[in-house]
Amino acid sequence: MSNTVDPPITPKKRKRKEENKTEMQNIKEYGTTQIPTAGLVSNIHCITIIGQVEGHIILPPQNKTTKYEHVIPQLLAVEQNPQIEGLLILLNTVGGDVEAGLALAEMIDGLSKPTVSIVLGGGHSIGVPIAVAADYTLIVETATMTIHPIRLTGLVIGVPQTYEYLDKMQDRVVRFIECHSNISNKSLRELMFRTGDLARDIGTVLVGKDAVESGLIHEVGGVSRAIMKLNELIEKNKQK
Amino acid sequence: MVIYTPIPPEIIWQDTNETDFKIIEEKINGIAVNILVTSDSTARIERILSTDPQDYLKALYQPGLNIEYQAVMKK
Repeated sequence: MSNTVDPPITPKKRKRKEENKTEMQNIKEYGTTQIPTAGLVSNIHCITIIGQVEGHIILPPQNKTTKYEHVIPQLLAVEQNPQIEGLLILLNTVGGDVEAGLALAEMIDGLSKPTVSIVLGGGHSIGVPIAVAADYTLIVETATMTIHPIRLTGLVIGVPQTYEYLDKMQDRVVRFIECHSNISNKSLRELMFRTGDLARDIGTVLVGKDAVESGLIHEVGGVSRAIMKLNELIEKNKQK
Repeated sequence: MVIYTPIPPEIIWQDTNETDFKIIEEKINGIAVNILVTSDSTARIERILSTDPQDYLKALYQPGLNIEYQAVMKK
C-alpha cells in the first residue's frame, strides 16, 4: 500500500543515520575505516622514504617519488622540536638521485636525536646509505637490498660520462656505507661486483637475514622491535 | 645528476613529455599534503607530508578524500 507513512525521523535517529552514512562513505571511497586516535601525542615521529629518491630533476609522473626538498625540512623540524624525542625512518625505496640520497643520509646521520631505520619491502642502491645512516638499523625478513655499481644502470645528464667521475661517485657511496655500518670496504665491493646474481646487472640482492650477516644492517625485526629499540635509545639519550 | 637504482632508465624516463601533472603541495590546518586538482573548485588528497604519525590517523586528511579547493583563494 502506498499510503503507509515512514515514521518521523527524530534528531537522535537522524544523527545515527548520518554517522552510518559517513562511515559507509569512508569504506566505499577510500577503502579505509576510521581508526580511533584518543588524542595521543607521539614523541616518535616517522619519515617514509618511498619509490625513487627525487633530486635535481623532476622524474616523469609515473614514478612514485620522495622529494628531498620535502624530507630535509622535516628532518630539521624533528631536530628542532623539543617534543620529538626519536625518529623512525621507514624505507621502501628503489634508489634514485645519488646527491639527494647522500644529502638525506648525511642529514639523518647528523641528527642529535636517536634514529632507527627499518627496511620494508626494499632498500635498494641509494636506499642503502639512507638505511645505514640511522643509529640502529632493522630489516624485515622479506625485505631486500640490492647492492650494485652505479655505472651500469646510472644515467648521467649534463656531465661527461667518464669512468673516473662515476668511480668517484661510487667511492662516496661506498665510503658512507662503510663508515656507518659493520661491513668492510672489501666485502661491500665484493657484493657489488659479483656476477650471476642479477639478471641485468652485476651485484647482489640481500634478503633480510643476508643483510644482517653481511654486517650492513644490525638486526632482522619488525615495527615493534624498532619502537622498542627507539625507546631504549631515547632513554639512553635522556641520561646523557 | 646520477640516478642510482636497479630500475632500468627506459622505465624511469618513459612519458618524459607528459609534464602536465596537477599535483601540488598545500597546507590544510598546518598539515602539509599533496593534492591533485580535479576541477576548478575541487581537489583530491593524494598524500600526507607529515612526520607526525598521528596526522595520518585524522579522517580529514585521508588520501583519496575529495575536498573543496579554490586555486584563487590560495594566494
